[in-house]
Amino acid sequence: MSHPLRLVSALVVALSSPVPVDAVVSIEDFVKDRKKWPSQVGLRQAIEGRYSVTGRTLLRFHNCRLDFRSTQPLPKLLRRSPRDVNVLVIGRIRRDGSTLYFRIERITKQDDDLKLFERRRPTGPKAKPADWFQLADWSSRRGRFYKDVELQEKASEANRLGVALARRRAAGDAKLLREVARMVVTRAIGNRLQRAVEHEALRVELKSVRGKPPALAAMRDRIARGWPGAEDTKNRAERSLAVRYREEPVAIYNAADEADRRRLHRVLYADLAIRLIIAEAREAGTSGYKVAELIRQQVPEASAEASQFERMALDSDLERVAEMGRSELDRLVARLHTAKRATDADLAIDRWLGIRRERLLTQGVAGRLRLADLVLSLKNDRSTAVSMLVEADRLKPDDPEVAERLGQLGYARQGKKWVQVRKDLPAAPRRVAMPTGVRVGMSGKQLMAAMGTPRRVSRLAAKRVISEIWVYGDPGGSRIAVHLVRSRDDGTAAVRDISQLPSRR
Amino acid sequence: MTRRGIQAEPAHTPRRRRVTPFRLVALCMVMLVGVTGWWSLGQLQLSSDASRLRDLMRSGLESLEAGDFSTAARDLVEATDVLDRLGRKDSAADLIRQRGREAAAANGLVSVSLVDILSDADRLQRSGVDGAWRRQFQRDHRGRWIIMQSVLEQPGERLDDEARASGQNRLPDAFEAEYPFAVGERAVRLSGRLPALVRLSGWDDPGDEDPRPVIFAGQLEACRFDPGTQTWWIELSADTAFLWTDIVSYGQLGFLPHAIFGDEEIAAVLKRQSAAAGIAVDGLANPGQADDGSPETRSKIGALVRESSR
Repeated sequence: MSHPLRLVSALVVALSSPVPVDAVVSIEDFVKDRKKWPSQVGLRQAIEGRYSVTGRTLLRFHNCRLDFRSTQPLPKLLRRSPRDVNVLVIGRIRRDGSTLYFRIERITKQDDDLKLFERRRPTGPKAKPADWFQLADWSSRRGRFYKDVELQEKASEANRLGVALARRRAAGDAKLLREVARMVVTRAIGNRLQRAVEHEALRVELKSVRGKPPALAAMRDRIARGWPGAEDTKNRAERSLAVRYREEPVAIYNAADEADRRRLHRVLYADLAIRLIIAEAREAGTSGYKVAELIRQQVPEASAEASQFERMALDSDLERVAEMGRSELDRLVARLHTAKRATDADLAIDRWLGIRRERLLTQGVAGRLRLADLVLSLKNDRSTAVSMLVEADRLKPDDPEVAERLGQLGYARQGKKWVQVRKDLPAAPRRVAMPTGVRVGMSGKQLMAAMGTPRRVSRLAAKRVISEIWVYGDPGGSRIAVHLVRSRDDGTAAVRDISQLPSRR
Repeated sequence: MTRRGIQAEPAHTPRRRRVTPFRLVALCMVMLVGVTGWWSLGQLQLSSDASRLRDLMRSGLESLEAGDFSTAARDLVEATDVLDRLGRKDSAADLIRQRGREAAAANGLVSVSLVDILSDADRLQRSGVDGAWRRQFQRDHRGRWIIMQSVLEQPGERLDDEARASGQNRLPDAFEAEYPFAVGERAVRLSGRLPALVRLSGWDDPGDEDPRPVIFAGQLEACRFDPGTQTWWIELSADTAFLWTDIVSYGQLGFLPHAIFGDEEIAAVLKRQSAAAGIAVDGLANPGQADDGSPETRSKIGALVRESSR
């Protein structure tokens, strides 16, 4: 289009427009500015709103005391429904003596507010949350002015749709989702939706901190503080709910009622706590047993997960039995028994003994004596122990220690052979008896005389005393610990306590 | 008044510049003088300390030998500080550092035996007063030293196959020890980290059926109850534990003489530990000779003193 033509067309449009320059003012804004009415006398204005009364030449708007008068009879305003009362009037404020009135120059019927709402609804891919909020504000303001409940509900609907659009656009971005959550509060949509959006943000954040223990720990603490029911160990979700939640956390949380949400907070906290325990354990190289212990401590309801880690640790240990020392083997065997895996416990002992047997058999009498001890203490296998000892006797006839052990097992030499002379003997002859000969107050020398040399001694220095613990008995069986206190001044040791120790695990 | 004559004072007087070339130069000069003064003072102090090093070491070692751990700790820790500032890393300096650590540990021993500590802990834990024991431990025992002779074990537990495959095994210097005294029916274990352990011969040998005891010191960090295993855990602060090497102070602490452990046996243990700790003074393990009495030690400390007084 050429330049002169464009000018002409603009002039035509301007002249043909019913309202020359001024925009349409809603009646609520017009009423709000009623103090300006005297200064607006003679000014051409376009006002739209709902009329309450019409006469031949008189019209009144809802909540407005000003008369709207016409010099000509007003056209008949047809109403298809009680709501169909919106009109647009064009005219000027005039004075009638001291009274102000609005002289109508033109009146047009308008669509009702609900129709207008529907027409203004933002649609299409370019619609923004702000468009919805603008519509919500318009409809809320107008609903309040006319006390129109239906229009106010429409405002809530627009707010909800705006938030939903904003939430869809913020998906996958925790920061934006948190802004949406704040928007929910300012738009007064309700705590439920706000919680749901915050939950979605939390899930996004959880994904981003995967494998970072410090961040996971901070999140766990935040959940414990801010999400009701998260720390309550009795607040358990049904298995099906927890499974569905783990598959589709956001959808399930959105749909859950308040009680279920509390339970889901616990599921969220428990899953995070377990994930953190595992991540920290991986960093520190902690054992599966420790992981299981921590899970049982912090998430008592996750006993299945704890057992799974224990099982993995046991399986892993079973693989490396050959590398273990005795105390570690004892612990493993005890753990296998606790886990009701007696067959595996026997297998572990057999493997361990198998490795040592080869080495001990090359060590002559001492090796066979040790092997006999091990077979007895670990398997209570008397016949193998006896055959080991008889073999040792063959290698070094009349060895007093071999003879003593065989005697303890109920064997005596008859000619060149060892023959069983007693049957009802204790399974482990080297185990210590209960400390009948030990009493509090006796000296270290007296203790040595009564009990012999301890199997193990631990000593510890404190400010003025040396505290000693003498241990008697086998690690796998019954053991007693005698606590002696040695004064640094005179060096004398005296028994202070006696304690029965649990078997080594 | 300006160079161009009388001018009216403008309504808004422009702010005077804070940073001017003159001020910058003045500031640089003040800083230069300050840094030079500070450095000179430091050098003066170091030189004065170096001249005191001989006295500090002699007094510290003599006090340690005499069992006056408080004086020994004060002097040897100060000597160690001077050695650090001099940047000394030779074996004689390492020996003084080790003796300083030993004196500090002997001087800061825990006030009661572990059995007493554990009895208190167990009583408070059973009474169900939340946090009472933790507070009491923090107040009375945390940071205090223990010196212990015990058989140590490796924690010996791994996470799972995956972790094992990725090489995330246990820490090589981590250890556990059974403290063989049950509190009620509850077991007691001790855990910590001892860097020199990895160099100790026989450590990490699963085939060793009769492991030798280790003599070490460490600061108490925590004493907590694990309800899962019904075990009391005594934890030592990370990086504070060290192997003991000096038989004279070990005797002064009251560990020697002993009915079960002969002096020769303990001397052999300490010699092995000296080697692991990098304190390679042969005479140290000989119970018949004091640290500073052995010719090797004497020569090393003598060299150190000569150098420090130069």
